[in-house]
Amino acid sequence: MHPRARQPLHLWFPFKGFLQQGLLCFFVLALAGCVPEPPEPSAGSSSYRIELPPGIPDMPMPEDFRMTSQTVGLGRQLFFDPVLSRDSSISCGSCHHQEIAFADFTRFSEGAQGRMGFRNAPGLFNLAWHDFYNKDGGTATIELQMLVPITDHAEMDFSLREAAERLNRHPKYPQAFDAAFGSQEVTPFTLTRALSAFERSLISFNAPFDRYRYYGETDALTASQVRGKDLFYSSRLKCGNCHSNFDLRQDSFENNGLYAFYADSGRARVTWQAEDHGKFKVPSLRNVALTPPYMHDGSLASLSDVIDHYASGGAQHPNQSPFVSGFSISPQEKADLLNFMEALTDESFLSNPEYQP
Amino acid sequence: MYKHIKFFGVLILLAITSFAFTGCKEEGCTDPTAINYDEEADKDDGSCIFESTLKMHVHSTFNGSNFSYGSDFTLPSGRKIKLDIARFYMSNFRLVNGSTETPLADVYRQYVPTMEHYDLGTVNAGTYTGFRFDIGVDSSANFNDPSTWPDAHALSSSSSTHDHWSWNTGYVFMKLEGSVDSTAAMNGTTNAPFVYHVGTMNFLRTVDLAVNFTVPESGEGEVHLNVDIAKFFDGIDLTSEFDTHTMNNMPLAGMVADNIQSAIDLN
Repeated sequence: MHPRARQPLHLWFPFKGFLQQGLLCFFVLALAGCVPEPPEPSAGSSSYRIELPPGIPDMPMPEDFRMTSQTVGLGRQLFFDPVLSRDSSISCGSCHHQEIAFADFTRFSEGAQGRMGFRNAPGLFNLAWHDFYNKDGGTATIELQMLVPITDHAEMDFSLREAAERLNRHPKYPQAFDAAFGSQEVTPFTLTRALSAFERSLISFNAPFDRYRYYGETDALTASQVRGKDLFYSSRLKCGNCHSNFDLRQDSFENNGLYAFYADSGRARVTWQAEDHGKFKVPSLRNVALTPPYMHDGSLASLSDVIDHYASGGAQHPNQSPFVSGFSISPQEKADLLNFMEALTDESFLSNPEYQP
Repeated sequence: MYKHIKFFGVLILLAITSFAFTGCKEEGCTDPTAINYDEEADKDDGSCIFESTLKMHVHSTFNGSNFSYGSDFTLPSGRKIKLDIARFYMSNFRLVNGSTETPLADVYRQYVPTMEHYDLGTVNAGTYTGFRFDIGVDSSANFNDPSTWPDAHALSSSSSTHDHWSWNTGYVFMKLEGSVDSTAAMNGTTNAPFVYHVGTMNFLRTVDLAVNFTVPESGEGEVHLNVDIAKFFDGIDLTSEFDTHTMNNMPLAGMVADNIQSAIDLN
């Protein structure tokens, strides 16, 4: 029996041979339509991981860019680079020092050309959880807030446009922006997102208070500190009524009766409402022992002075919070409360190499 | 019989071949800028229709003379004044036909006296009886992050005339800066600076102009405006009222806003 010879497909028109039938198949395919597009390659950068204690709400993530180790690293470079100031003398790090939780050592901070600011610089940590920024809450996002120091005449005295232009001429930054954002062209958008990525990465949840409260380490606080904590949250002192959340702050504006009349109108500077006069954003008390002087204008030199102020019941300003109504406190209790304030210091945050230039 | 099959086969093959050589050839309008652009079309058949556009021409004067930055002009009081900055944002453009308003969606511009021709983009062809816009930025865009607009956008922080209040979130709707002769003798030297930065939603102002104009099919319509910068200062005593950043002097900010609104008219 002869093995059956290989034969081309028998089609109804007389095309013999593989070549012809192969060509036919080609034409039919060409007729059938376009070859499907290859799939788009997916964005390659890795996600940035944040470690949080149990019980802390998830960190709100940015919606218009991806926080990655590249964007955070680029933001870190920029944070410490005076290139973002008009006269190249001031960086964010000039007024925000890691060793004191990114606050400043002085009552007011000095900007370009020696010009002075008018409010005490805050520490920077756990920023993504805030609803608004600046003491008068006029900026709603981290990316909007940074326009203030960058453009303010008394701070960096520059503009996003000029900063981006300058970075585009820089020998190293275009490359770094390309690695982080996929484009060598530095724009106001990528500049602000890089900085905000770094700012968001500043996480502080490792104070003795956190270890006690969130990690369940009952020996993390001394007996004095535990008494101080109880006083802080007591209905007699009511500190915890405003310094209320996991950051010992809340997203509201309050008048704490510091003055009968405020030179700095605070929230009213933005809203021009009489009931907002003298109200300021409630600051976090994390790392508070490191950041004298205190209050929006740095007018109280020490935490002891702060306790005395609240114990006095304040200046009775019409917008004063009802929680500031004065209290009695013994010397021992005051010492306990001050010890508790020390327990809010996160030493690991102050020396974390990820936050250094 | 096979001969017939062979003949038709070749014909069909030729048809398929000619198809194959021309690819998937659908005819239509292939210009992506046309109203009737057909994504599926590979071959243009000349059927493209284009949208109409509108251009706003703005002539800047100071009490009848052509305006320019840095030149001295004379106020009604006789005092000399010179401007270095005189600009404002414009938004919410609308074309009016009787009682119908047609908005120009997402069109923002910034008036600067050195620019005369403002392309307002595509509009519906037709006849119109009025032209309206707001001086300032509408509340839906005023609080946006300026770095999120594309570079060429009027509201972008990339603009060289970007006017934005960083700490108060929002644009400086109207910005006037210059100097005036504040001397008692009115000696003619513009010695004293003035700064008017007007913003916040309270000071948005609407310009409402009655004007008959036509926007032709596939063509460009025009509106012609005049801005009389002298009118910006009506009723203001520049020797004493030389500073407002709105929040620190709201009555003066209001006067400036109202004046600018009144200073814009048909040319």
